Amino acid sequence: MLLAFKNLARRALRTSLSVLGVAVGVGAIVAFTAMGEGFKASIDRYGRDSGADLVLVEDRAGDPAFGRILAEELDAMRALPDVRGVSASLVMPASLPGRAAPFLVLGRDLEDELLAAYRSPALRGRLLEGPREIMLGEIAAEELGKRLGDRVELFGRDLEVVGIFRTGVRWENGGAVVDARLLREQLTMPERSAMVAFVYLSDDEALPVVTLHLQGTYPRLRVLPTAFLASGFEQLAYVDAFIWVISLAALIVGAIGVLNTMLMNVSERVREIGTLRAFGWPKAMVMRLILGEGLVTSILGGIGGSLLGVVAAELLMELVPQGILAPVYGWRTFGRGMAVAIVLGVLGALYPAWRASRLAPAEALRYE
Amino acid sequence: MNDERQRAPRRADGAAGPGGGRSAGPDLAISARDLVRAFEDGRVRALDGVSFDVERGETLAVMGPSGSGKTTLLNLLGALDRPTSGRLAIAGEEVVLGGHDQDLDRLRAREIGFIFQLHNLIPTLSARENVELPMMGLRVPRAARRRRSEELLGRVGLADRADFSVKKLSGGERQRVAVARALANRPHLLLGDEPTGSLDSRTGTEVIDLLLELRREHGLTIVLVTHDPGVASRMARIVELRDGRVSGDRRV
Repeated sequence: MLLAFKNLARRALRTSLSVLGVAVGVGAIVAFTAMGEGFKASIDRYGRDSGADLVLVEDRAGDPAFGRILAEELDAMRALPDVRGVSASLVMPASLPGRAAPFLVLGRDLEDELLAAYRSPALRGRLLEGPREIMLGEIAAEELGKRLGDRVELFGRDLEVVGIFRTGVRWENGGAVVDARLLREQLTMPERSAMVAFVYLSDDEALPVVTLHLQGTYPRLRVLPTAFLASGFEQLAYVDAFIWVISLAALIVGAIGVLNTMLMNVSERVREIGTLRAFGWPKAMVMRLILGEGLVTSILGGIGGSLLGVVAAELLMELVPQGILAPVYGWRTFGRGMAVAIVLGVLGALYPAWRASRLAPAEALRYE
Repeated sequence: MNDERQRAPRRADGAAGPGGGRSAGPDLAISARDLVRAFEDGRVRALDGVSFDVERGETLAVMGPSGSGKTTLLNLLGALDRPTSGRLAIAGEEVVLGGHDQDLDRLRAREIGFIFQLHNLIPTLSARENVELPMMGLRVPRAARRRRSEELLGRVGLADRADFSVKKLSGGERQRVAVARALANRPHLLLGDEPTGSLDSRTGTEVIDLLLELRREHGLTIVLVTHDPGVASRMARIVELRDGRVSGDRRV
């Protein structure tokens, strides 16, 4: 490995450019994975913070925001044994004057357990008591310059800010909560219906029975533990697919970069490889040397790319005015980046290594 | 260094060795019979029926004009290439015409040391690391490699230069590093391709002196290809080639 390092150091500029090529690809993967993971984590956190035990989303809708669960269905669920309550949840993006970022407006029924969850961890003012009121997330309030008692124009209504809340979910803090009736009206949804339903149990141990019952009764709905709400968002799978497409592109571009560098390295060192073969180095050992150089290049690129990815993700967060996302840097984020780096290192170095190992020693020694 | 010849000659009893063939006798370092090396589908015969024996411990210079087949012969003697026909045994190992490359790799690693005109050292490595390279091919442990390389560099008078990058060494010093490297795996046969060709005459003489001292110490067989009659005259025997055939074979 030391030999691989020293060989790469011989052409420091070329190696650096190759490492940079790998790093850019890995950086993109790390940044997008961190943001994708951050988004998933925030959805799961949103589910957990509801205090509910189960969440029901409409499977076929793809996006739970397009889901429709009717009032009769919600009432039937509420009548089940061991079910303490079922809350309706609605969401709708809205635009506000002077604010470019998406503004998510959540609809909650009044005097409902899901609305009461906003009391913690921090609520200034009070919970909603009527349709002419609004609760703002802390980030939204700050950006809009609104305080308790101020007024906000939304959906053509003049709403009074009665509460300012802070939750553990960044995009929620950048949004608002209004009476669910307002959203149903905007979306022409039936009365007391929901996009997503949160189910509260009176007995935790009833979770499997209730889950099975709900799954059997409502096959079109997905019944999820609240902590895994993100798995109900099919579009998150598209985010994953998008990241894999970027990974593939990075893999191809990076591997071509490594291939080019290693081919040049091999063609410049024909006589040297001939000398190693003259000492009796077997072909496999020459191959390992060149593969090792490719791997060192790509691992350096992977490390550099991981740093670059973190910087890129943080910069992107800064660019989004209200930072609706918080990137998550876990083993998955860096693991994916490093895995891609290692694969492209091996792919890029494989052909040059094979070529180097096939050099006939007598001819290689004569090479000028 | 005195352990060089303590190792018993390997496979001198006729058993199959790394070259894959039978022994050609315990006292012969090289046995060549009717060696032919043809190129371009036989149209060009770089070697055309070369036969000679070299005894263990003998020193031999191969001379001849350009194109006479010297380098081709050295490639065959160094197990870098295979003859088109004929029989060749190196250090008792027969080089089989259609054998495996791995057998030649092992033969080169264990039995043969090379010195090249342009030393062929790896410029980014230190003198010691360059000497260690052949040992890496035989998977010698790191500590043993280090001991052996320092011992050899001490022997060629470069103990204080062991950790110098070879780029910082003079031409003569580099060739001495190359000599140390050639001896790393305790070979029986040392092959040199114009080993003094890029050195001034005084430094060239010093390198030949060193080779002959090492030959006395370790009983090495030395075969050098050279254009330089001064270098050739330092060897015990001179084989001359012309048009791929032996045109002269005399003892000095």
